[in-house]
Amino acid sequence: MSREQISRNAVILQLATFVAVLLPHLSWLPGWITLLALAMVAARLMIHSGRWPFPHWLLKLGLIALSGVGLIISFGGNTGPEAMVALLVLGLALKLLELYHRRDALILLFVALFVLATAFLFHESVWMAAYVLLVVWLLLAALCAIQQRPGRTAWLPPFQRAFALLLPALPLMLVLFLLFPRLEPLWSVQLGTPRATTGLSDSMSPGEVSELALSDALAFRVSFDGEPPPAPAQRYWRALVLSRFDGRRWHQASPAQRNRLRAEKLIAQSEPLGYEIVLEPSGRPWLVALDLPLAQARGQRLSPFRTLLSPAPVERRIQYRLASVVDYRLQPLLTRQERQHYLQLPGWGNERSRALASHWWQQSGGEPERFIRLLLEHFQRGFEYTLAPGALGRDGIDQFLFQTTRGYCEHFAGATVFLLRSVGIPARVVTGYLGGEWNPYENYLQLRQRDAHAWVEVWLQGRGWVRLDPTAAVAPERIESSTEQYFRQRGDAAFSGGRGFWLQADWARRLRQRYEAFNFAWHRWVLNYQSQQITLLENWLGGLEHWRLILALLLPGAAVLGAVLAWQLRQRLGAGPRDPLARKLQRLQRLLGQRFAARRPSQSLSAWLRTLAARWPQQRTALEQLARLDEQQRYGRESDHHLRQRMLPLVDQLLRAARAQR
Amino acid sequence: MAEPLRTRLRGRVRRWALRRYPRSRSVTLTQNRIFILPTRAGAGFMLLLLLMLLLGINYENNLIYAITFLALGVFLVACLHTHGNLAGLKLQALRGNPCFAGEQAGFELELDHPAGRRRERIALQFERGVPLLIDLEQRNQRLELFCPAPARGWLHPGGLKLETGFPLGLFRAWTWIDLELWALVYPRPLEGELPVQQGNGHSGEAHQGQPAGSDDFIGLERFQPGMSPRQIDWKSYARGLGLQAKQFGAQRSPDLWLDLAALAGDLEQRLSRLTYWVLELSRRERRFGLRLGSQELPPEQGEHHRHEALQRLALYGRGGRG
Repeated sequence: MSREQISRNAVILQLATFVAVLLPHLSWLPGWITLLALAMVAARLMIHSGRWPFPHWLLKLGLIALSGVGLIISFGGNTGPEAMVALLVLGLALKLLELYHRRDALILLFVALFVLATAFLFHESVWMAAYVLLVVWLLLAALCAIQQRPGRTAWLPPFQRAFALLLPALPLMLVLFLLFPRLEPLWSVQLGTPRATTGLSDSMSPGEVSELALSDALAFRVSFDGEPPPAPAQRYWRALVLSRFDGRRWHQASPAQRNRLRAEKLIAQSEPLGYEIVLEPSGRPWLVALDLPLAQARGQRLSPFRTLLSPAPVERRIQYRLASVVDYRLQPLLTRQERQHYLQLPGWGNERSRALASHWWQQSGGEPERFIRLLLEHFQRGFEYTLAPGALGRDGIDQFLFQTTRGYCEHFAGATVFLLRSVGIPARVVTGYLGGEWNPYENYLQLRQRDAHAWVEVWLQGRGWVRLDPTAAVAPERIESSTEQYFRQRGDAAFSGGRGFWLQADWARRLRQRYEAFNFAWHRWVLNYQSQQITLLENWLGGLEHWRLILALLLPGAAVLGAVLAWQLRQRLGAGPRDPLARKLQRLQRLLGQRFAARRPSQSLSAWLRTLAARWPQQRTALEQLARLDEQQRYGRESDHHLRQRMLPLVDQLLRAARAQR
Repeated sequence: MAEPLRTRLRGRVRRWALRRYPRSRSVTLTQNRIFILPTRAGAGFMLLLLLMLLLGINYENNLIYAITFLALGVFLVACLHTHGNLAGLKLQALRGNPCFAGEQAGFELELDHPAGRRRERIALQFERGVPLLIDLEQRNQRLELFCPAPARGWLHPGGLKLETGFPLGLFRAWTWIDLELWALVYPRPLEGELPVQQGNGHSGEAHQGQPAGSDDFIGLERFQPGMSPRQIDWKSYARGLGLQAKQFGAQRSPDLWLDLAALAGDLEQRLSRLTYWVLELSRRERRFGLRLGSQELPPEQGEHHRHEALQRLALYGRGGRG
């Protein structure tokens, strides 16, 4: 049957399916593939309308060769999913030219389904999922249409049939989705070509964090285990510790240096806070944690200074669970080596700053706390917290402290550490995020790239590493509110561009938050279901024993399939025939069966009526007439309708008589 | 190797299915009569599902898992739909139409199914016949199926296979039923010399091979089906006397006897020759009798007589149905 020709409707549905499958990939497909694919669709339409013949095999061979060369040029050496999908799309496009028999159509639709699934490698939004569901419907309708007789031209039935197939499949999908064990990848695959993502880099120079402050991109989202989130002033999310200064940039400790540092000792002084982070892909290996995590999550590394690292750059959204304390003592004692590391400064440059620091050091009488107070007071006098601090040249710290006096958090943090170190107080720059927007609908905290922040940790005798945020001295409101709110209230020029006024309206914000909450739920419960699966199933099923899982799969599965089966056979299980004559005849058989003799299965209706005629003389003529009409209806060639018109009154008469007899 | 094995397996399934239920005039397809298996396309679909699952596993993509499970769900539901396309269908054997050996015998069936459902693309086929593809939209439908009739006698078409791949072609549901259906197969007509014997001792040479005469008008007779329309007396019809047939002298001529014994050679060939002449004489509207060994069919003419003669020829020396 597979060599049968398919209907013209089916050809159109195939083309529509192909275009629908192609659409999600347009964002990244090389332009020539898109053009070729659309040209093939157009060519098939020309063939369809009879204006062009089916192409010669030489032409097809040429197209295949050209596409092959094009693929090598576009994707040579790249083994990521793009190359695979591009190859499949090209194959589909060329197959369109051959679309004639049912076999071709089947192959086309099967590959199209696969390509449709790959759309999720590139886009994972709810909208994409809804779109894909619609395309699956279209694809099933196309699959139904190729099974139809070539002559059929109705559009609706394939869609109806596809809907009837799809609807019961949805609960089945849900059950399987919830229960199917998520396996580790069987072999390592290259995820899509890394896209340029914004995020913290592993070094910091003035102006870099403030660039991030303009980005609306989502950084990560946190939900806390039932507890209220920590106060805004405690929402410091550490990512990197930068302890090496080269006169201009702050860097992470080199691997050799890191080996000399001991893992820092943490003494918790508050109850740990459990939370879960959903981190957006950053293309970088560092992870964020609320101030100080007690331990790393599975598969992560904890650096000596208690920041978290992933073994590989984060190329996809990940989810991990941590416990942190916000009140603690960290590393109360430093070795000489460590002390030396956190005091490192280049031997030259920024002389005026060094002089200022030693002046304060003398003023404070060698007490670090008083030194720090002097420093912060200095910042409070005449320094401006801004997103547009202007460029700094050589001796940037001198320039910042004595000339521009305008800066973003990284300027203040860098200068503070420099000043502290120059007088012998161990200090380091910490970068990460500060604050976050609380979403009351889904109860989570959302941090964007613009919440990126840099601050200082200073080591004080007897207290260990203590957080010191010079930005708080300059702009205390920034700590309490988000960057956005802070600069909007101040009307900072660098921030005003881009956003319309209406987005600030209260209802718009609420709407946006609802949408974001929905997105977060989507990310947590669908896209990252694997990290919820175990707990969820344990809660729902009361355990994870095999029998529970099997029952949980079989019971709903059987219920759905049973419902479909019942629906399929509904007419036979129902109340009997709908046809009035057949229904009345049935009633008559029941009544007369009780009164006289039941009809034997082997007996035809007419034979039975004739036996009754002998036993019920009053109605003999009616019975015999009915028997004759029944035979005529079954075997004769006379119009069915006409006979039925004559049978109905007879049946009614007999029914009345039978009732009267009782 | 695979092909013969498959054919053998199919044959075994057919024999088993036909043995399970007795031959009957009417059959309702219940669940336990219907076999269902994935087609080659269905196997391809399962492979596709496996590939999609691998894609989901390797890229740890939950949405790909979801679309894979959705497709699996559709696959399972399609199995039920394919099954449902046959289940509940009622077949009623109507009659077998007579034919000549070497032709296709037609068998009339009535398909009946609960209203409100569409059944599409059901292929009906006798074991040796050609398939007929139908879409069922009304409540019941009559159709004629053909099966080759190789030899004269009563022909039973063998098992009837109903098969469907609807709606997605991923599954094939089929069933074998044995319907109480018989067709009478007449011998294949074979042209030849008229094996004639004039009845009642008259010498018949003069009439041998002579076409139906139209000599003298004798009178009118009531028109009966089977008479030639050329005989109709239109004048009396116009006078409102109903259809009357004109009778001519030649038709009263001495009766012809077709005799098996008058022919030599193979029995089947002789029967075939007689068949030819039964048809030919009936066409010429001649009276004739038929003598087959001890059986004798007195001279007569008309449709009924022709049928009677052909039936005797078909069944000569053959047992009944069975």
